[in-house]
Amino acid sequence: MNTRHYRRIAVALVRQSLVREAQFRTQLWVTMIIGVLEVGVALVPALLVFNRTAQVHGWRVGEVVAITGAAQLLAALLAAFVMPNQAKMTDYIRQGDLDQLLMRPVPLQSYAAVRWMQPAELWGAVAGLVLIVFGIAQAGLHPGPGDIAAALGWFVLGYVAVTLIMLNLGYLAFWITSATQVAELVTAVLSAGRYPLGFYPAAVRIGLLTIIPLGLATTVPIDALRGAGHLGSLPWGLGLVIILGLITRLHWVVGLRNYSSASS
Amino acid sequence: MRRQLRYFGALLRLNVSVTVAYRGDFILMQLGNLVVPLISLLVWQAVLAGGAALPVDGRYLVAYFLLVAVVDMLTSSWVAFYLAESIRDGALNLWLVRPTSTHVNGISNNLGEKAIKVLFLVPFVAVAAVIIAALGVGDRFSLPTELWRWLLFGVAVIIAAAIRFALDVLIGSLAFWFEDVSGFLRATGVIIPVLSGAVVPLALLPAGWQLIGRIQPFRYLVSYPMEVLLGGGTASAADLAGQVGWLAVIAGTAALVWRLGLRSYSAAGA
Repeated sequence: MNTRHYRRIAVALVRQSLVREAQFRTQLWVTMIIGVLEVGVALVPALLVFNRTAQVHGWRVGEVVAITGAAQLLAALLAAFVMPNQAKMTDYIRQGDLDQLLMRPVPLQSYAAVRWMQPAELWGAVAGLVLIVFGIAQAGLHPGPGDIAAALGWFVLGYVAVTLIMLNLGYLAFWITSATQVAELVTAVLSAGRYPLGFYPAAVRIGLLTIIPLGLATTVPIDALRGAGHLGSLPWGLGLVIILGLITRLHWVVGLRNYSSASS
Repeated sequence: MRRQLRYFGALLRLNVSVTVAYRGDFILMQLGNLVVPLISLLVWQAVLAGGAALPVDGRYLVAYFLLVAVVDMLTSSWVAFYLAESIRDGALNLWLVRPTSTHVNGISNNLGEKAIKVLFLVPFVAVAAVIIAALGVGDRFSLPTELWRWLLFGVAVIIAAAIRFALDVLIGSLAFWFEDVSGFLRATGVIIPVLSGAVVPLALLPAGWQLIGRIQPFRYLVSYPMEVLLGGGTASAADLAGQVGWLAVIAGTAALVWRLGLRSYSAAGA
């Protein structure tokens, strides 16, 4: 299997997901409208907070709106590319559908991680980006190219880290009857990313930078746009992603060894 | 009536036993229900610690965000999705020829699950209260001691649960005309938590929004029972009449829409 083979698989998967979305056009429009509605509603708590005060722990309304935007961007990307596949893991393992995947000439772990996509959810990502730009402008920030590059780097690092956590939660289906509720629990925790880490006690802050490192994709990038690049912490962030990557690979290999095929 | 009660009792026992069988999932679900209120609590405590002038104190916020998970669960309903599915795939046919209604099944499912869920959720709330006290986040958690508050709170929760259930039947009944009601479900799933006070106490709305917050029906689902119990907000005796009024309006509309829908139902799969 060469690079061309992988590219053909990727193109086929993207094309299939677009065709599927176009097939259910009403659902496509509903998903897009709800995505915008979700962004508006997600802003409500932050706007209520800053209706009562000008700043909280050094964060102003525009900066918090930008963090809400980053959290929305993260949530939309996860909903488009990660959540559908994570939810499918329970079906693959419980119903024996993994058998069919095992027979295909594809790199199995990567294929299972990207097989299903929901492009309509990306509308929420656009809304998140708009919020980031609006929040930065409202806060009167003028980030330079270096700040933007640092913010982008941290966001990608955070997205990959959270994706790896979500994949591991999906693999829990190898060991427990249904991993759906564990995933729901972590999805609820993702709403913590709408606020700056500085709002939380130290123990929670550490948890949101390590156990469920969503702070790397929300607070840290926006802080980078404020001029605090956190470049000194970059090796630590990269190390975290590498460790999570190794755990994810190991979890998959051990889980697959434990898989007894539900249909046999 | 007595026969219907017997069917209800049998369905209730069935739903309780099914919920117990999937206890692992339900335990995690209840833990998840507590996460968002706890995040909100930490955020508002930070706001309070920053010196912001709020219309409620730290003790109220701790009590509100810990108890809102319980009230939200007790007043929740999930029947719309299943009702819509049964209309779409024709499974409703089975209930139309049975000696009891699909709604009796829906109510027994709602109450059966909640009876078990509350057993899982209350210990989590107690543990969260201890942890919050240990971390020194805000003031100590305390419950009101007046009996009348608890009685009125119980009545308000029962009416709120009835409103939510009727609203769900109304949304689910739209499947008689719409092939896919998931959009309605997602929209209500986004809007109701905010307008009901499940995300933020309505007492924290800006002054200009207080009247709208007070008269809109979703307030009666979560905020009003919480206001009755904790004494914050604007709850008055007239609000109880308002809650009953909204129940009559929403339940009446749901019954009307259900009957109209049944008339146009072509029983897919028949």
